[in-house]
Amino acid sequence: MLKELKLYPKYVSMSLRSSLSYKADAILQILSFAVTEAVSLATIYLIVGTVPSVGIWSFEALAMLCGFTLIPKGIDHMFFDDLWILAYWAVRLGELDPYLTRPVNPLFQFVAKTFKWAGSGELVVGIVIMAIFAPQCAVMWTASGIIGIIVCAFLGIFVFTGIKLIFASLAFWVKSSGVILNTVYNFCNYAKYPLKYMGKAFLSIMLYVVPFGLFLYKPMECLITGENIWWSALWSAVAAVALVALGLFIWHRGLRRYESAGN
Amino acid sequence: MIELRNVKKYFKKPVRGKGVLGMLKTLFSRKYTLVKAVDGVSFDINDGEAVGYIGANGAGKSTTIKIMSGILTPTEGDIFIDGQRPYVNRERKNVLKSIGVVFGQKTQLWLDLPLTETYDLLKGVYDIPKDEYTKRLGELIELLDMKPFISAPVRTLSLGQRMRADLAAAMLHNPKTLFLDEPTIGLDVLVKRNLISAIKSIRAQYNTTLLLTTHAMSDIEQLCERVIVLDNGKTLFDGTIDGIKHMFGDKRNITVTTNRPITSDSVQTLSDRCDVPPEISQDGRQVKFSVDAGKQHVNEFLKSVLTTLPVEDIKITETDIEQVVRTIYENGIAPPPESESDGTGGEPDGENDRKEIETDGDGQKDGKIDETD
Ligand SMILES: Nc1ncnc2c1ncn2[C@@H]1O[C@H](COP(=O)(O)OP(=O)(O)OP(=O)(O)O)[C@@H](O)[C@H]1O
Ligand SMILES: [Mg+2]
Repeated sequence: MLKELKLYPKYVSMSLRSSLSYKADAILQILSFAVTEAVSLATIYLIVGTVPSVGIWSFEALAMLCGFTLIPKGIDHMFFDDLWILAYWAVRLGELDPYLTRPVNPLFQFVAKTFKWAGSGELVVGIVIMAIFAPQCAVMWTASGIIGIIVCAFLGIFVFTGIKLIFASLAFWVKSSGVILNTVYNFCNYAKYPLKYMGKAFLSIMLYVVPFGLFLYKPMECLITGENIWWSALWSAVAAVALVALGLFIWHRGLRRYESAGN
Repeated sequence: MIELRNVKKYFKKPVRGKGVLGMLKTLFSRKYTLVKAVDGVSFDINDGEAVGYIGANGAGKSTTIKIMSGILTPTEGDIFIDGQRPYVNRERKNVLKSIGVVFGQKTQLWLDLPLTETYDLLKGVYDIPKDEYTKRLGELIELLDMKPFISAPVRTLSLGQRMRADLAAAMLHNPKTLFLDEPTIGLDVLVKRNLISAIKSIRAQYNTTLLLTTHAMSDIEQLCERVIVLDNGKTLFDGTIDGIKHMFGDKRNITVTTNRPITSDSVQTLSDRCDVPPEISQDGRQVKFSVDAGKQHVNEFLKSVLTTLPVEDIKITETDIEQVVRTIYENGIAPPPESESDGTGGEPDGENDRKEIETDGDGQKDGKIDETD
């Protein structure tokens, strides 16, 4: 672990310098992610803006929720983006070989080698939206509440990562699990909507099956209703630990089945 | 010390249907062919030995090396490198520190950055102390003549340069054992010769144990004392280079040019002494004999040639390994496959041997699956 920590800055610096040779590409990517998220906010405005509010959710509150979801998503995106590559083609094309012949955790090497600036597009848009709309919401901002959502955002990074790791590791069985991962991952977009009013069944799915609702939606709802946010934080922690552990387990199991590729 | 104990690696390949319907079926069926890439290989390699690992395309050489270097887990059997198994989680890091591996087909270097960056990362990965790193990198740069391109991005290197750079990357942490999988693939004669002599010097300097696969027999002859021949996942031969020559006949190819055309009748007595009939050229002025030096004295055979034929010129060449190996591949001296008769016909469902499935195929030797698609 210590060795991995020591190596990490080296990886990041190499990754950044090697992406410098594709500067224009990197900037375009950051912009495209930022634009995508801005458009999705505009969509919410079009839907919600026509009615004054959906129950307890005013437009400002929904915008804040939208911004909040982007923060853990963007951070996960920056640090663990290569899990997508694992899902789509690394297993099928035998691209894990070089990481398996070095005496450092292969999963660490695989995700550390790419630091994705593009994720900062989402992160920045998320923070800006929150900064604009948080003061406009009818929320009693307490220290506990603020720390609570920061903790939830932090734990949320690992829930994203855990979910990605689980479904990306399925590639060891099905060769390419990108489509499955993409389907599951996209459920995070629904956490931007007022789940409370979207049916019990759907809410349960978002809380307990694909737990994006748990750490993205629920904490914000607590802030608005004044419920205790620390319960969501606790459940987010449970989800983060459980999902990352399950992801690591599946990864290790899968690695034994890894077949590399013939020529 | 490297020990392989009855190592097997089987790959399951889904049976592909033809057309759209067939593809749909593939998605939902659990039918597959079993490719026995490595099928019960055992051998030991002592410290400091240099072993050539040869065999036709698809014999299972790369697969063996991938198991030895921690990439694949064997289906059955075990590999111990100094008592530890590279594919077992708790033991892998120890093993990996003591080996270096190069795959000629794939680089392990960081493509967009100068070589020095990759080496610097490896210094951290292998915990190489700073002064040892500087000293060793210096030596390798010297040995492999890498000065001219040491700070160029890897992307811009020629194949020969890249191969040397990969070799240096594998040697940086002073591994006890080096696995080279086709390190000379695609290199021109000169570059290849330089690389081989560099590997030679490396071995002389560091006493590295070497396992080398290649399709160029000259590489083996220059680097290895011992060869292991693999075919269809099984070892055909394990011994010295001279041993392989003797086992499959220490043949001399004698080409005689005569000053007037001759007929096959006139070489009758000579051809009786050869295992294969001599080849007489179209114009009848050149005849090739293949003589087994183990069965008769070459000089006496030559005497007879001189007395019976109007000789103008004689050329004698020794069998090279390439020829020997070609004979092995073609004739397959492998013991007759035992599993040939069990389980006759039927749908290829589940645990089926590839031999049975390919019977309607293109009639290849030993029921080998054609892997091109
Ligand atoms: N990842 C894989 N999945 C399925 N089959 C594989 C895989 N890797 C290798 N094989 C099969 O296993 C057999 C042995 O392959 P391998 O690459 O070990 O051969 P090789 O001796 O290195 O050949 P070459 O000289 O062409 O490099 C081949 O039939 C190949 O098609
Ligand atoms: Mg090979």
